[in-house]
Amino acid sequence: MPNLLTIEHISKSYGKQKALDSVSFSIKKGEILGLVGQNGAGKTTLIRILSGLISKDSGSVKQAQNYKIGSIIEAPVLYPNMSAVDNLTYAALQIGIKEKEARIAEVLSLVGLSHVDKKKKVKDFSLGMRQRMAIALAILDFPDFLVLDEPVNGLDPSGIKEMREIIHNLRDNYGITVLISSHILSELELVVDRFIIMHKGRIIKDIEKSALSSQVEEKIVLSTLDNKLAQKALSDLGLEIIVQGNKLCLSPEKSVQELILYLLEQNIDITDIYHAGSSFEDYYLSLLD
Amino acid sequence: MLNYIKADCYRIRKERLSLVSLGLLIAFAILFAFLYREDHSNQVGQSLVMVWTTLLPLFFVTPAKIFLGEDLTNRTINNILVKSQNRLKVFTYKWLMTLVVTWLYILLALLLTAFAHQMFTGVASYQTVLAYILYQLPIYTVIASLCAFIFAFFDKIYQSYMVYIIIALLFDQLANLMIGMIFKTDALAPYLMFNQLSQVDIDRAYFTSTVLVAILFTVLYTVMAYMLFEKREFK
Repeated sequence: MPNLLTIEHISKSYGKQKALDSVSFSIKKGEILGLVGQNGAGKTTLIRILSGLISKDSGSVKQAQNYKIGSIIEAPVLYPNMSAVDNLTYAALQIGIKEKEARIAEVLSLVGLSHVDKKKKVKDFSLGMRQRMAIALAILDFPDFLVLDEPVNGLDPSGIKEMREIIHNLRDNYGITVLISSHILSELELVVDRFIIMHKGRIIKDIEKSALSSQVEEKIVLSTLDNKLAQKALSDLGLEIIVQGNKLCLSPEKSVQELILYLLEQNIDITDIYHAGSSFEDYYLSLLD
Repeated sequence: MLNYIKADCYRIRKERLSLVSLGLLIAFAILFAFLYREDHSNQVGQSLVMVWTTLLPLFFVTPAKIFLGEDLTNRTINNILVKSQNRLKVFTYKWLMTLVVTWLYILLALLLTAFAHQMFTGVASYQTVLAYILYQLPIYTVIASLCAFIFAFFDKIYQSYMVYIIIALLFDQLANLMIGMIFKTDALAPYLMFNQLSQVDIDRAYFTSTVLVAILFTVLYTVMAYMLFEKREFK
């Protein structure tokens, strides 16, 4: 897939605080890209720059084409005293969309709000409905590039699932490239094709979801009455051990049964032993360490 | 920009945004005309204009709120900024619309008062009223620019309301008093715009130092408001 845009060495500071430090990456057309990072990692600053809401201090954003953009930054921004249709009509008039009614009906259906009372004001909507309305507003002109900052914040599990379906639908059926930032790693894992992991204003990992699976390996976790002795005994077997608190983690070169027998032979009492797959969360945290 | 105008007309209609202020404007126009119902003189046009000079600037908050205050406070400005990717265009539209709608308010208030007065007395004073509007326009424009600047400056609408209303009602009187007491001069009096509204004389030259200062400050407020708008993050 060709690149929709290429970001090169973007930096941004607020006073002495460096929010972005020479950030570079590209976004492929039709891709769903996940932006991950702790609070203050620079995600929202990056998203605001890409949306044209703030200027960068240096660096460049190269577009493959003159693309249309839609975005939701942090929380939905709507006119609270107008209905969903009125909000969308206002935006459609502003953008200059012809055949407004058909387009509004289409986006409302896309985000699952066609059934809503046409007179109900947005201020009376639930958070989930407002999030969907914000998406409807962002995609009203079917942009090439959709930027979503924390789109599932405050949503219940069914709302999160629906949001995921909406995002997939926008990519699969409308060819919209999507950039999503979120704290909810498990949710991002289900949506995106690629992760950009940010920390302290820098990109520390740019990884495809398919490549991620090789990074998140299975392991055996065990704890004993004497972890130091167990660590030594297992090292003698040639196993690589990682200590995580009061647990020992090792790669599954030996089976759980083999390990139990071996440790019992060494007179080491096991208090807990289990097979565990490390998650994206573990991988993400290991990158921060 | 035509699309923006269509959209804002739609929003004003749907949210009935200027209904209260327009209702008050009409009520005051009729009231002022009624108060001058005994006046059939040639000078009544001037009186009908001058009776508005304190009150009319207070109505300027409505256009400033509709085109700047609400969007900046509710962050809905971000929607249009993302779609247009052109801050100068968005600012120019919002600033111009604030001024144009303010001018419409001035025209409506003064012409309606003249019309209501004609209904009460049969005396037509439109020519005098229009001449005064023309002479007062630079002063009203600098006041409207100050109002728009205040709405562009503050994060909250109520802060903008408070600051502007205090300035509109008190600043010139206080400034005049303080300068007079401390510096023993009234040299700044011709440049205190709220006061100057009632000092306009259509028999004098149009381009007085007051008008020139009004134009200069209109430009200054516009540039300052754009400098704020250009860099500001609406969050």
